[in-house]
Amino acid sequence: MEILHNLWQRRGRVSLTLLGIVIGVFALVVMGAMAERVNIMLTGATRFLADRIVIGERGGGGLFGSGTLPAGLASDIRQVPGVALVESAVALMLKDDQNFSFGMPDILEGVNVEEVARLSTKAAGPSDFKFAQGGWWQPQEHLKAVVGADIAREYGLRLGSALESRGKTFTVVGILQRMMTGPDKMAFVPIADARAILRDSHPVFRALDVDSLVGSLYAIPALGHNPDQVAQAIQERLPANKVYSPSEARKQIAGFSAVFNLVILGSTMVALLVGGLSIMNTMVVSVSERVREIGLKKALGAGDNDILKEFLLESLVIGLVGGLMGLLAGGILVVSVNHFTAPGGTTIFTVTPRLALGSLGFSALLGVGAGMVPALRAARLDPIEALRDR
Amino acid sequence: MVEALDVHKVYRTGQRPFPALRGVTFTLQPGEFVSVMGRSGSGKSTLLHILGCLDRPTSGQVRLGGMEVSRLPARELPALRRSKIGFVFQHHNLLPSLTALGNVMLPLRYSRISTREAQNRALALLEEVGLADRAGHRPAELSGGEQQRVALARALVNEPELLLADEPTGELDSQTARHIVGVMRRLNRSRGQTFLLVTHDPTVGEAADRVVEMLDGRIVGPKAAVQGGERPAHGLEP
Repeated sequence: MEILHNLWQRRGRVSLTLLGIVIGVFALVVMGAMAERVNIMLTGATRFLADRIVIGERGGGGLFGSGTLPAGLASDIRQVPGVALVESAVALMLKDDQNFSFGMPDILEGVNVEEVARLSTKAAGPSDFKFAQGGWWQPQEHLKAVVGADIAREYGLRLGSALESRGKTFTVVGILQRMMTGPDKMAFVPIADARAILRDSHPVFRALDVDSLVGSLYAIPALGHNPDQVAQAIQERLPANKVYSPSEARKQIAGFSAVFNLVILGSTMVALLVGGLSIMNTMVVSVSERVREIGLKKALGAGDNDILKEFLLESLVIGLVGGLMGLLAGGILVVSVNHFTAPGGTTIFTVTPRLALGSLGFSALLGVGAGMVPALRAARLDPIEALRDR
Repeated sequence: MVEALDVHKVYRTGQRPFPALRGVTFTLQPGEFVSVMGRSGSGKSTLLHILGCLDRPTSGQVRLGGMEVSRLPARELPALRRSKIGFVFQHHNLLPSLTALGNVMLPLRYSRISTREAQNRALALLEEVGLADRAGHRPAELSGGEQQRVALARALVNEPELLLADEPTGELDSQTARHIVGVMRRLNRSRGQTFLLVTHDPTVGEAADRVVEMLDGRIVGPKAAVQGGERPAHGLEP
């Protein structure tokens, strides 16, 4: 109560100090929520690629870049010991007029259903496609679609719904559970339908034999085989291609994640530093205004540690209150923006418990850290000199 | 019993050292009510600070209840003040952010006593000084005399052996000052604690068992108690 009364007595100055912390924590929460969203998607990507070996073009777009690969490579890869099956895919934008959006765009992915449906029998890994409703289409069927969770929500799809894409109408036969990675924003269709769309999309593709091309190739290692070793074997068999083992994929993703987090969070530290300096300034002034009070308390039996604790508690309260307000303000913004963007299939922010507790913890720590120097000064005051202060 | 044995205090600030106390020796018997009088600069406040373990003598000894306290390490002094000494100051005695009850409880915060126990003790003392009905009021809502009574209650809440007051009536009008001195005298008799008051106020001198006079850092002589000479001056060496 004494602390609250002291803060209330100086409410003008304390409010400005709080504002500094609020802004800092607000920035931390908003930027952190963006980083957490990316982290979750990257974690999902890591999980998705945990048992997938990516075969790409040498000098191509890296792990996520799609190019054009000969479809015949799939049979070469199947012959490598330790390869359980090979997924071939042709990826296109779901809509012709796709606008720029944060994160991955909506993808129409043509797949060989015989390959993907065998995943659960051969790999049984965390990257399995799990269905919320329905299942895969039959091998000879056309114009069927299995959609990811974000696609289903964005276009209001249920089983039996029609999905219009690139001039064709697909019937939804399966809706996947949320995977927190790429497939959430994908509509899977028969590879022949995707190739037909590709052929019709540009004159250059009419000149190519698109049936002999794929956009991406994934090799699934058989259970009991070391995926990195299988990847090495594939690389040796296909020296002209670039093969990414799961551990290499993990490293690339981790590297991107680290850089992203560094940039995002580093910038918020600047804002928080300003808030911390603000607390320090307020506490320095508070100590100098209460010198006599400190002398009195020491005369009454307060030790140096008692005085130190009292002032640290005060700066901790300032940090925590500012942190709570910043968390609330950041949370409101995040929820509001997500509310507007989610129907369009894009979720930009995720406030995780780690982020919320971390923000509060950090602001409390900032309060204590910033208050340490003035609190030490208060604790070390000579009681007689302090009692003489007017 | 409180004893000062050849206590010297020299301040070494500035160019020249300043001797604030020059060999003070005296004894306070348990339960005495003594006032120390003298002009500004006579060393009264320095003596009070040393007896109150807020400062240490340059040489000499101070004993409280038979324990030699003048050479104790600084980190042990707060505990000593908590358990053996109570203070009343002239002004700005109370914390404005606390109620009267909160102010009286303040020393007990540092004694690690439970809040309930602290509250009970504080209320009992406010009752003794006649302010139990003002327990919830902040200092700004109390008169000068009421504030000093609260300060008195606070000084006694830890059951100290020695109560030290530095000009306790300095900012009070004469009527209120007499009232405060009366309260202090009553508490001294009822509780048996030793009271030492540094003062310019003759009202306080009149109420004391004996008066010690100081000049230039020395005790220059006892004054006989003015109250009908009930107790003779004793235990003093010039």
